[in-house]
Amino acid sequence: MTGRNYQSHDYPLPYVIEDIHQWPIYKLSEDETAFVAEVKAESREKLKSRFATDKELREEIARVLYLERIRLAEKPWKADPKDEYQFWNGIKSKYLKLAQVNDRPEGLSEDELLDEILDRYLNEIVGNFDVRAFGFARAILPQFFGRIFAAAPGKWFKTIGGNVKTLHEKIPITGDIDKIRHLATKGTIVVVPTHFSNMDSIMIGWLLNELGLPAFTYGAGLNLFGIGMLSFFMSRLGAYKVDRRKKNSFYLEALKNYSTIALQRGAHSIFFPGGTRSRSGALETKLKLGLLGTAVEAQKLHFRNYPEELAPRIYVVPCIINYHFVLEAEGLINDYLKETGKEKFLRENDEYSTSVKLVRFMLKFLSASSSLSVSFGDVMDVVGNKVDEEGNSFNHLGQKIDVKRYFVTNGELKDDEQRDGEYTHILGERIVENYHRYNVVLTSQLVCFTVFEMLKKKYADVDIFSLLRTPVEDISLPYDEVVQTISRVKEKLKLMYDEGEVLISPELRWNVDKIIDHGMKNINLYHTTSPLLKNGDTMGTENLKLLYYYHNRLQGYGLEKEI
Amino acid sequence: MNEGKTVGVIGAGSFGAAISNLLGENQKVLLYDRKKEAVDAMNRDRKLKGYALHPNVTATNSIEEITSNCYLIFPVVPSQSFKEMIIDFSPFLRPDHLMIHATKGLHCDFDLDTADPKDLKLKDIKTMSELILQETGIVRVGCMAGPNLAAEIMDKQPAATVIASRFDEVVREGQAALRSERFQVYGNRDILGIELAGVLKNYVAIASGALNGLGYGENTKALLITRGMAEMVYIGKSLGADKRSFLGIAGIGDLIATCSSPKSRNFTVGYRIAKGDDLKTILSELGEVAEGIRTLKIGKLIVEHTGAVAPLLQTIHKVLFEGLELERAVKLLMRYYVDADGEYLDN
Repeated sequence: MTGRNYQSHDYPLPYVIEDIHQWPIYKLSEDETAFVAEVKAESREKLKSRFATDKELREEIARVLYLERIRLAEKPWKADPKDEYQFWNGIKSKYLKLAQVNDRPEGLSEDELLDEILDRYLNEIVGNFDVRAFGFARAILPQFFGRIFAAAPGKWFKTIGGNVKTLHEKIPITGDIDKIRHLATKGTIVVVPTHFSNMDSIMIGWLLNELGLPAFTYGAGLNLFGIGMLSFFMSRLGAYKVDRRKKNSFYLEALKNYSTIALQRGAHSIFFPGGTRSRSGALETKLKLGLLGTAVEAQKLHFRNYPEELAPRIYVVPCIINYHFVLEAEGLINDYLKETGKEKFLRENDEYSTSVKLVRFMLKFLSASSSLSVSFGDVMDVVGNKVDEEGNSFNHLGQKIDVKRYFVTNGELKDDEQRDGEYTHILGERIVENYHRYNVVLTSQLVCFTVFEMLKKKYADVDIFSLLRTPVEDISLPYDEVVQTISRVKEKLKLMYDEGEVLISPELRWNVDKIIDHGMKNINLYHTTSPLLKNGDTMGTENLKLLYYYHNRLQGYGLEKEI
Repeated sequence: MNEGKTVGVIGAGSFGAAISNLLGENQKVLLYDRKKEAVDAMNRDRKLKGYALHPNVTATNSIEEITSNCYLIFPVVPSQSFKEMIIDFSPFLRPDHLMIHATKGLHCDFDLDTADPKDLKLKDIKTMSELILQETGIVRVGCMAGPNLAAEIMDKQPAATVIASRFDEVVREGQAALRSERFQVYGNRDILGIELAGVLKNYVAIASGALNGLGYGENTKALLITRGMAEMVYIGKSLGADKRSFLGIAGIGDLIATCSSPKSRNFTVGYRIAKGDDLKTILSELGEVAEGIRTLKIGKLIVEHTGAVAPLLQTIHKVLFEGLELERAVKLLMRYYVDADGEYLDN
């Protein structure tokens, strides 16, 4: 089966487009002024048609103002510009004058305020691509990341300055790399990765570079730009800023159009469709479809703007990153439990607020991390049909499909937001299926899943919250039973692998004792309290919440039946 | 008149004829039937099932003629033969085709008479829209359901229907094609709920016919209809449908019509059972399929699988297939423990 096994490539692969100055992201950056003007014009037009009269627009400005003032008061961030209060106070006083419809100053209008707010937002959102910064990052990142793929832990310092190339060869990547590379020259690629750690965006950016793909643009949390060093690089490596606190219509419109037009201009993009990192540790099942919808929109606009055969195509590629352990696991699972415990107010997580914290985080990651795996799913069109080497779409019946027809009614290309929203929804479902199907099960996950499920069965009369509060000293399972159960789950996983329902790491073919050892070694590397513990002929844990977190990754496969 | 527009209808039964005539008032219609002789006869005599065809309706037996001329197609084929039909059409259908089916039945991938509920997976049972999605490249799918007895529509009496689809566009297109001075078209996004409403009412109609055959009057019928709807809500919810769909035209509306009309085939089945006729004889004499029989069999499997509360369904199933006497069945149901009224509206 194509794409299901590790392919031995000699990473990094040569760039599919040699000249960096020919990369879409470079061209976009060169043409920044015109690009931003286009985004603004488009956002303005859409907002003006949604709020068609002066009165409606004025009321919407009031709403934006209201939401922004709440944000300023309740959730200030370090990354916010210094003059944020000033700016919004200025808007407020203008709005108050505007509200006196019969007595407003000469020249002041709703449109003017709309322009001012859009300029402000776009100025913040816009990202850049700087060839020199890129060259620097490209030289430095392999030193960091090459290490991660080296098999044995603890050798990081030896790696620096060592032979980077041999490390490249070890990247366990599954997926149809050749197809993705080829299609990147024919159309625009949208990579949609799972999201477990703050390392994901840097990791995936580096990986795509290893695959020889032109640099991708992606939306990074504005909070990350509060960190000097990170901000310096991200803002020069094609990242644009996304502020998840701003949920007002003007901001969302500007952000969506930014993404849509970047895609239209051919900029390969990364969307994290889960929105934020998975709190529970489970694979995403519900996606935030906002940015994903811009892929559908951009494809439709291509069909509108180009004659039939020439319309550029947009290809969506799910990507599953699998770490043996997630550095933020403890904080994430605590958030999750608070959330499900119906705690009303969730603090906006801002754990890397300073460069020092970030560097510490990176160092931990690099010095402690063990092997991980990355897999790419099916290459799809924007409606979720599979795409072949040449970019042709085929539906689930294997019929060749003309994608344009999805946007046609009675022979005419029609605009229909609700319809496109449903297409985005369908695409989202396909992505979630891919996340499960191309997820590579690691030894640590198998062991955590089985042990926690056995505990759930043992303590069947208590709910999950009580179980998680059980003193860890009381937790103990006979080792033999654990071995037997893991063996059953493992066999089931192998069957599922044969059916194409999941991927498994090579270590999962070992005998169970070795699997448990391998899993424990990898997962306990980082955490100060071990999720998995072996005491002679019993197994236990020092941290039930972490055990629960890692167990969650294998939810949704129906494996519980094997316990 | 929608100038330059042609819509398609698949299936030349009595309801296919009724929909064709409704559509014929607004645009040209191509009506598909597999059999060439039947098509030639329709085009020659301008008649179908004893009713005159609207002048805008043309019959054809060419799949390609329908799919290349019509972007909007209404399949009206019994659930039993729906899969076969849609597979025949599939190679000719594209993502710019919109399809609104009017079949009030379910499909299942196993033999109804031998299936063991334990082996059943819910995904083996499909609504017609799910079947269309599975077997074709069409995405924009809808269904229509409501109190639409073919004979009354042919008589041009005022009536209404519901079109349901995830896609608002499908509802709009369906409305534009069907709406007229005597035909209202409502919209709904809960396609599963509307499909189930249209399907599940079938077995309640059988019960209604039976009660009528026993000589019971309006009190009993009202009881049956209200509690029948409660049961439909329970089954619907167990499958993920929105209860509100059952309270509209396609739910309670259709239920009242079919439970009151001796013209409905399902009603007739129940009525003749009460008069002592044998099920086999009734079905062979009816000629057209009574969807209620299939609904009962599939419904029983669903209920046993999901655990939805459905004493009425279980009891009628026993009467039709397990030899329970009708009078005894009524007594059993009347003895059934009841509690609060209107409880099916709770979550």
